[in-house]
Amino acid sequence: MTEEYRFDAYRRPDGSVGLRNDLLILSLSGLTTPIARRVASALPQAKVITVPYTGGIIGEDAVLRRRMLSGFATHPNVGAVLVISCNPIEGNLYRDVVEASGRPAAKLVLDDYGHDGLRLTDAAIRAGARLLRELSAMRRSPAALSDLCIGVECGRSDTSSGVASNPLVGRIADAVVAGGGRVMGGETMEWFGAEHLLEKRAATPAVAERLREAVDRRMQRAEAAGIDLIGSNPGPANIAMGLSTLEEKSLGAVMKTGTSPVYGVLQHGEAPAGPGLWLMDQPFYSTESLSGFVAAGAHMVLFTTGPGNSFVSLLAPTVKLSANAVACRELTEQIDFDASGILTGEMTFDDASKALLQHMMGVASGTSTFGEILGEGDETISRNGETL
Amino acid sequence: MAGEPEYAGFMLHTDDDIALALVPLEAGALVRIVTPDGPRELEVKEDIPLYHKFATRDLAEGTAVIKGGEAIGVTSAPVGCGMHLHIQNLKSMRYGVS
Repeated sequence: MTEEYRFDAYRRPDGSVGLRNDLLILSLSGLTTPIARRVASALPQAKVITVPYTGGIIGEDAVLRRRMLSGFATHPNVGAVLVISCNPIEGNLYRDVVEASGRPAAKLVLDDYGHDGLRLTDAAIRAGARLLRELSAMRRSPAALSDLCIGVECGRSDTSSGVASNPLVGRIADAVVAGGGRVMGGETMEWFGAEHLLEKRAATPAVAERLREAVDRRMQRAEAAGIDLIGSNPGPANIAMGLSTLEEKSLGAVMKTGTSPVYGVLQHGEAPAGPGLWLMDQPFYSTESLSGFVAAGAHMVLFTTGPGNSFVSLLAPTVKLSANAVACRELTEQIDFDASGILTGEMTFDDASKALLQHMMGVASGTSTFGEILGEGDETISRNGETL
Repeated sequence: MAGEPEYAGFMLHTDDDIALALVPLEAGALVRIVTPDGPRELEVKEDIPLYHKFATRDLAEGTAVIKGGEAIGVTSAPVGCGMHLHIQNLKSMRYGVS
């Protein structure tokens, strides 16, 4: 069924395809955050990512920051980058990362403007305008599921998520894998309680081992912090919504990943090495989780919710879907795909899968999601330790 | 489908031990349930809140309860067909949570 699903995308010099052709304003320093926002306000077509952390980031945080920033800077949906930095070392580093991917870049460093943010603003708006015009000359060409990389996410779930929208997303994950594409699942804490199901799907014993280790490591961190994850899962809100046990909650969440073998466990923000299903060991909170998928190259996110959740990725168009009929009726400018018909018998899972894949091909080819139209997106870099 | 009763229950797999209430159900209601193999009907024996679970067969104490083809816990008391299945009679199997 996968060969009929095609879309139109921008071909990048590095071989990837882009569903969007964004100018990214990438601010590398907390000092330049307000300047980057000012530049972005003058260039409304551009997207802006700012990071509050720069100096004194060490160890695994420094490694993660570099992986995430490089991933954002060369994201397939990004066509060009305006790098804004307080110092030339980082400014040159990320300009070089962008240029090595074959994309146009402009670099603006506060040191070069005598730390006059207004002069830098003027130069950045002009450079950004030139990049936007260059981007506007690019055209889309046909692409297939094998070009596509998606992330699967849930946020503010309810019982309808576990039995309808997550299994639906699982079917899409299977279809993308069958079509030769890449799928990423994450939110490690949601594997807790369903490890036995995921381990059965591990492509190798080493992958099963890494899945177990990933859950155990976070369990130990929680325990060290005095948090009783076993006794507090499901939480009172989950219980009120009808979820009875940890297994039930976890099973509902991992259904998003479908039934394909798990090829490997990725670090947060690490790109999959090839096609198939991959699981990312990462924070569960949506803002962090989505950014991990994005830095790893996810073109698009399928994001299930029960009663609603407005947040989306900034760089990856995020298709928000719910099977909660009330949410679909009330949140008419948030829910991109209404899956409530699965529960009412109006749609089978097969019908819904075909309709959702068609919807995704539209979004891939340029149809806007509500999250894009309303500007609900952001990207963030997670932290593990303390700044020096 | 004019004239047909609306579905008020949902089963993910036909062989599951539980169905979900798609609307709040009152004790004694005859519920029409969506399943992958077509509709079935059963009477709920207790009030079931929206999206909560009810048993689709009689379950003895200590039975692994199957939802979506996978065990989601074990019954801590006998649960009759049509009864509310939740934290009062369904417990985690994985971590010995009481």
